[in-house]
Amino acid sequence: MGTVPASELMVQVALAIGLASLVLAGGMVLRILAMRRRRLRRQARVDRFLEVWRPRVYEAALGEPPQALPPLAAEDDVTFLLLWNQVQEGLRGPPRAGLNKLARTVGARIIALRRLDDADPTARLLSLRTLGHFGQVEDFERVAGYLDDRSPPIALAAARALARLDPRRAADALWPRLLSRRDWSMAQVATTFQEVEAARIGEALLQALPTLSPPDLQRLLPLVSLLDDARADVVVATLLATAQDPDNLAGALRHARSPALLDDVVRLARHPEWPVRTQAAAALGRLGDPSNRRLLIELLSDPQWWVRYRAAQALAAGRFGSREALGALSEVLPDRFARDMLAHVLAEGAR
Amino acid sequence: MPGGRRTVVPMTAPPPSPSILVVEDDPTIAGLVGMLFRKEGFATTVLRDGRAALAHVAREAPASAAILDVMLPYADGLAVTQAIRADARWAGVPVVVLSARTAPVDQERARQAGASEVMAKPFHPQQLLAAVRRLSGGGGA
Repeated sequence: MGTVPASELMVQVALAIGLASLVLAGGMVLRILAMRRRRLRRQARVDRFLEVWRPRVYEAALGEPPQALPPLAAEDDVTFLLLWNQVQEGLRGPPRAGLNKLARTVGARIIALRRLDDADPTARLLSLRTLGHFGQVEDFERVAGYLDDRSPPIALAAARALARLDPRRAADALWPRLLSRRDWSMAQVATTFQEVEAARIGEALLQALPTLSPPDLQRLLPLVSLLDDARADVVVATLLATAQDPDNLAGALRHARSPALLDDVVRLARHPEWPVRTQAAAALGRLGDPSNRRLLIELLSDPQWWVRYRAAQALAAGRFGSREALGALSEVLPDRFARDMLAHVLAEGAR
Repeated sequence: MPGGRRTVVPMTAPPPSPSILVVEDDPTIAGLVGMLFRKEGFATTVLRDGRAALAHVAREAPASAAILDVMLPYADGLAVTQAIRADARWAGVPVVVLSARTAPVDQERARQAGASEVMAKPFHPQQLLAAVRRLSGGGGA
């Protein structure tokens, strides 16, 4: 028996590798085709479902008498929850009663409770939203368990649902997490509580104010929008008087609503950090009086473009003279950058 | 029929049903608004983007009223409102702008573009219906 030459062996190995690659590639193509086929079939099923159910959900929302409903297959229940939530969230007022009646008929609450621990995050999210809209207070504890979910969208969906189920308890359950969950969007939390128990969350913010670190304060600042003007002033005034961090100062200036804060705003218009001066200029446009005109003209010559731009916008906001008077001013300012910026903003306003 | 008298019954066409143009890219809201007005006897045209709306305004006869979303693909609802106001045939059509952004500055922008009314999203179906009826001088069943 002769030995196989090395070159022959190499050729055989190469052939085997080529063949294996071909088989693998073929397998992948088949798999992709199967996935595509499955996706198309799933989409076709969703389309068929929506064709049948959309009119029924719309009719329920518009207060039409309920019609005989087709059975809801388990495979379609997430699609139903999606459709039902979309309609719920698109409408306000009495339509919700009709939608809840429809949901009761198809057992949507039971579906939502069953899907809360689904592997699919979309199903979990929709289940939380459904339970919130459904408004059965006995679901509070079950939903509250998801406030500590690692995924911020799931946790925030739970917060939103809790705010609908029992706003007062929701606000109390939420506050400690607002401090610990650095991955939550405070703007989203502020929107959630805008209409319910805003004062409770705002009050907690007010009480915690002295103990908050600058980064926490910065993160929680959007919640100032939940406070009435007088309380918001207290938070903003405290920050303007005590904060050292330029981001905190700029953030507080963004929320300044009352002329009572003007002294601080004027002081900060000369802050060494330009983001603070920028927000001070913008605040002067909202709150300032004619006595601040000189300061704004001074800011028009600031080395930073954004400060000059906000100062020009503030001047053009209507509190500091007519457009004609500002147009005349833009021609006589000694600083070329100030002249250009004021003319630029006046031209923007004329468009 | 000699000597007989023929009675001539004047043929009058039934009044045309009021029509409404709905421009909304969210299929759920579009479907709901469409059904709301169809149920009330309006002939309804639902379009999904600003470009189709601009083409519709340029080509078709004016509707009794238009309901426009602000955020639309290709051309926003305010651009469509301006096009409606600039078109001699459509200029008088009441426009209700439906928008999730209802801060005073956004409302002012919509009114400057020519909107007759700005309504917040989520919307109240009966309030939308009442607004369209009031602005278009009645209509519907």
